[in-house]
Amino acid sequence: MLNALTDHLEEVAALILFGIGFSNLLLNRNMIKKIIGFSMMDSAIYLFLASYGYIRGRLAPILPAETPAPSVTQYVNPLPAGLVLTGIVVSVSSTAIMLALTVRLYRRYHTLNIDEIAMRAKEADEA
Amino acid sequence: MIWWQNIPFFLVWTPLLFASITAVLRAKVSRFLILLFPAVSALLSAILTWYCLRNGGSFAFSMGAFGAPYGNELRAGALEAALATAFSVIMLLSLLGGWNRMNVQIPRQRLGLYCVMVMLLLSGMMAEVFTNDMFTAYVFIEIMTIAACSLIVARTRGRTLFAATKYMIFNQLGSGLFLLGLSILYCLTGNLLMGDLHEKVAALIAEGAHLDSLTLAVALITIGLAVKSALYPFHSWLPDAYASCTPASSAMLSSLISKTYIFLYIKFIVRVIGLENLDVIHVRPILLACAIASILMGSIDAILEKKLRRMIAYSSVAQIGYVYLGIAVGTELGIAAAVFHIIAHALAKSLLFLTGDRLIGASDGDAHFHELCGAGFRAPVCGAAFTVGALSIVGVPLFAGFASKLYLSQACLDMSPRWSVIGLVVLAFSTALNAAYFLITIVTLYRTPMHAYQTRMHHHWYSNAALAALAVLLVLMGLLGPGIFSIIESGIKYLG
Repeated sequence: MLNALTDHLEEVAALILFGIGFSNLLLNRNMIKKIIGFSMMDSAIYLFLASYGYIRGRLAPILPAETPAPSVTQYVNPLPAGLVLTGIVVSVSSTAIMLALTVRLYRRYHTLNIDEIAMRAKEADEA
Repeated sequence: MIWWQNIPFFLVWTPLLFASITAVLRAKVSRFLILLFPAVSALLSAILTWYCLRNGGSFAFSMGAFGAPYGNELRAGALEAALATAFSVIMLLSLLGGWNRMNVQIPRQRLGLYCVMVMLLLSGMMAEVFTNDMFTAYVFIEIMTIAACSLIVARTRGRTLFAATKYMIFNQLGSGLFLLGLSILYCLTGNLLMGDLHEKVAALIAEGAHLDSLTLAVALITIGLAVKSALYPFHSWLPDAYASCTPASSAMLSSLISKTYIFLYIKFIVRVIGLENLDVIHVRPILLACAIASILMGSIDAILEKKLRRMIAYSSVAQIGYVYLGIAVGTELGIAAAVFHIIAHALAKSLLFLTGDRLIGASDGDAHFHELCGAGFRAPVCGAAFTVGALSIVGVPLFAGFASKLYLSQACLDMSPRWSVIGLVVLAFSTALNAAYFLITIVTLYRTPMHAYQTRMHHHWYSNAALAALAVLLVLMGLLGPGIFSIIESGIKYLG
């Protein structure tokens, strides 16, 4: 059991980070902390993917032009890196739109607490 | 490669390209483009459906001619093409039906950006329908989430801002779970294309290796997509989001976006896991429980609701429960019934949101039920169209909703005796619940009003024509039910 944990240290760390990020996004009342949680959650998945693609002791998957091409067994798996790059772009745009929403929420309701925002939105509805 | 096999690629790619061009065009031109593109896309996918039906089977389109397992694929058969046609038509009619309110409620300087988001949404929908690659599906899920959030927040008044934030938070939770599930699945199999994934998953199940991890991955993807398509108990973001935005947006949100996620889930279940492996993964009982809870609780919430648009929104939760019930049956018949219900409900819900908002408008903008008395006389076209939509959702014969409930109950008989009895009882009971709140609403619409209303709203003829078209489509779908169902069934054979 302990061996399995230490062999997959990155994956375990990634899952713990995912849990922290997820519960922050779900439970924290502060909008900015929610967004931090969201970023953590996504980064944790990228750590998970990147650690899957990395193989200890192998080279970066770049073909040198002059020397004859070495066999694929000498390289790490390049595909997860590509997925992580795509994912980073996606999460940057999601973070941007959430931050933009937060700015507008703060301008209208003068608070970052989601409960208070809900209360004021309800009051404004009934008024 | 025959010419019509390029159609799926253009359906995904052209709106995406024009979304970026629309951003710099004048609002007048882009407003024209967002009507043109769904129309063209409906036409092209109808052509594709015809060719797919004639030739049978399905085909894969390798992006850039890079072969599997490195390349990215689109895959199309009769089912995907038919669904793309239905979605494009509904999108066009939703935009037309909400055209006036959209131009009034969205500030002039934002209208151009609204058009960009509609284009992105069209592209995302087509990508989810046709893609054969799970990671592409994830990327377009995020694109659709951003587009949907912007569609909600485009109207600045009311509580749209809060609703959009809530929508965004829940959808990001869903996307996160989906991505984690996908990553685990990728680590287990080393593939992302659905066909290759299916081979590896079947091999894993045959060996009995890594079953726990596989179950975990499927569970995460299931919960992720359930959150995004508002299955009970993950639906708390739904009523705010659907009830506060401009009617064209709520029609598209409820009838297209959540349905696209469900179709993606159907593809995942059929094409990646395989219907024969469902029981190994233990996903059916949970789906069944959630579907039944969704059907009952959605209807009860709708009965308790005092505002028209929120009531329609809660009824969406119940209807999504029906679709998941079909999936949970886990046979080809069940999946076909689910797809049929997706289309029937998308038509009806789009119609209800569009007419509901205009009926409220004809009652001096008050959404409470007692103010709606006589609204059916003040806005005759809307009243009639609302009645058609409501009757279809209740499941009155002649309308699409009846045919879909019939197929769902047939599908329920495929389950074990105990579950099929439970399924049928829930279907019957929920029909009574649906009738309770929709028939009361229809009666309210045609009662004598308590006082005079002065609001006169002008609507273009094409807006009314769009509502009439939706109503006619509902009746047609009810009458031609067996024909449409056989197209769906033949498509599902080639989905796996």
